[in-house]
Amino acid sequence: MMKWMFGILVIMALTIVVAMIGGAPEMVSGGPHSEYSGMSVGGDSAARLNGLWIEGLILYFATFLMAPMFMAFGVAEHNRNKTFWTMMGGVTALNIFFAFLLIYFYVDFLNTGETFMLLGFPAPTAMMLYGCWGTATLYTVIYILGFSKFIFTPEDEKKFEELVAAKNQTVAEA
Amino acid sequence: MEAFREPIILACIAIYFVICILVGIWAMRKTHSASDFFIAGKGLGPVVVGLAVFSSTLSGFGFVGGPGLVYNMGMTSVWMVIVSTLGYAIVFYMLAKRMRVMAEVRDSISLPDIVAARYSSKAAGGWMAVVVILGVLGYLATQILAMSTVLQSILGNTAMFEGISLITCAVISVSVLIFYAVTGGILASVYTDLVQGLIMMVCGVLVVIAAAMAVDGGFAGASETLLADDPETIMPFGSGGMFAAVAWAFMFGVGIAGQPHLITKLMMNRTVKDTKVILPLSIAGYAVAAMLWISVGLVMRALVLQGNHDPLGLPDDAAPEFLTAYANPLLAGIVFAGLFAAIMSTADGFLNIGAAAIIHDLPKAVRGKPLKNELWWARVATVLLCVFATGFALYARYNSGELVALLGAFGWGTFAAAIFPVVALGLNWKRATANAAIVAIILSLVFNFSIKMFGIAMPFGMDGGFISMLISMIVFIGISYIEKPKPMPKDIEGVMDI
Repeated sequence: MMKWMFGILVIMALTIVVAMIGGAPEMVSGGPHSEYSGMSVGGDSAARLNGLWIEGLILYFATFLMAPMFMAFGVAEHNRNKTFWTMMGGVTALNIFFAFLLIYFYVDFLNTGETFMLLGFPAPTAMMLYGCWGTATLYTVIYILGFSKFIFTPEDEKKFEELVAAKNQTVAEA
Repeated sequence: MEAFREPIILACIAIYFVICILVGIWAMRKTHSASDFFIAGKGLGPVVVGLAVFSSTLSGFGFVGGPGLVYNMGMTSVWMVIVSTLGYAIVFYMLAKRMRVMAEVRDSISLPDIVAARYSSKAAGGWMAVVVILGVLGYLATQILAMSTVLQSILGNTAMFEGISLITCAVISVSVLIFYAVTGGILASVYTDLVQGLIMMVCGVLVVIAAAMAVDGGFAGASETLLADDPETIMPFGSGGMFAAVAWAFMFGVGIAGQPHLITKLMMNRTVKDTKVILPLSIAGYAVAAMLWISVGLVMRALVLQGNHDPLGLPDDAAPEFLTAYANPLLAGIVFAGLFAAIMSTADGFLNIGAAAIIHDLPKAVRGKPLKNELWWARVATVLLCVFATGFALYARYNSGELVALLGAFGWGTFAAAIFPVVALGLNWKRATANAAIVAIILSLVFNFSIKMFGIAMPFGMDGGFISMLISMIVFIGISYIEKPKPMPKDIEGVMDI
């Protein structure tokens, strides 16, 4: 699994290098507001990502993918069973689905100049706030429900007690 | 009630200070050893740890800098908050169990202790202590400066304390901090964190309601206003753009597992099983408190654009101006107390790990054994560290300010780059080597300091900490693959098998 993570990290680094070689379009990271000094603006949405979409999307989806990979890496290999992978895979698919919807609605807005409001925010932002933020809480649900199955199983607990007993014995002998 | 705005605010802050002092006195009676002082004897309940974890993550930056960033660049900085659900989950999946088990099996009381044990390397532990000390100095100085400035702005508005100096305000606020941090150590720190966390959650909820009522049409009205002015601001990547937003998402989402003041709290709970209660509590607390961050910034920008509020002199004025103009005096008082809570809960965590690095980790790395009477030295180190950081902060404030800015910038990104690979990856990957850990730590320090010192701009508005994290992780994994792994002590291997 580490080789996969290493590969994705290298791809992310190379993506930044490639993007840098291509040069930065104007306003790629915003500019000052014409009227208010403490505000910045993004300006022409489509123009500032011109030629950088692929690089931006690679970094964006890689971030959403790396997070569950790190989580899975934290679970002992012998506890990563089929149920674990199914649950993690399901939540990751859902999380990435909302990340995809965010991009879909954003691109639609860039093309048409129109969007709809959802629970107080434009659709792409609503996907970010309610979809991406909300579905990621399901990783916590897996942690709670699967705690004794994947995170700290009765066998792990027994091993832990053995380690502590061994330490106590060494201390006592010393 | 409006006529009593200032006395109400002062009363809220005074009550908060008194609570901190009382907690310090209570905790002093329960602190008998260095282990009690640094990791509360590994005996804290899940609710206390859960709230302490989130409140120490959300510093004064979340209450002042956060709304300021949203006012300035819209949704870009909101990614720091959005990824919190992913971030906390990463921390707990990767570290909660291993940190707690390691603390038990090796009697570790600090992060450098754990690093030294994991890699069987005093040098790796020593370098980790250096990272912690440098970071603590920077963080503490900036937190103390923020605390003093806020107190000065509040007291200075009253007739009784008009013209009060920054130094006096620093002395008052630091005295409270020193009192409870020295008397009760981490126990006082986490129990004040508990109070501080609750205050911050109450603030989060109340401020969101006040913010929604302050602007015509609530949040939908604010969104419409921003959309009409500059659509990108209210679009998901904000005016900072996609690259800046993603960089922050990665740095704050993944990098949270490299924040020493947070992850050392995972050594303090009573049992490993408590972590399944701590995780949801931390996430819920953070989410509620962070709503202040998002709502105030958006609403203030909308109010200014609508012409209903004068433009702000500085983006960081967003929260104070909002509280002054739109919040009920009692709410303003609670939020100002919450602001102190946010600053102090982070500062006390840093004081604790800083003192541990100075009197426990460095002597162990250099002499091979800790000091005698660690508890006494821990209290001395806490006072000295706080006094030094205060002097440093005030000197910088009245002189150039460059050094404190340099160390302040050290913050999150450098911790993330230096600690995430070495601790989060290293505790889960047997192949990781001590040399890889040392190189990753040194590289992160050099890279982040160089960026700040030479003013190197990162491409596409990305944060230097993100680039530094990528490089540090790649180097750490790469060197570990190249090197031949050494056999590990049996107990460490056992910990990593769990």
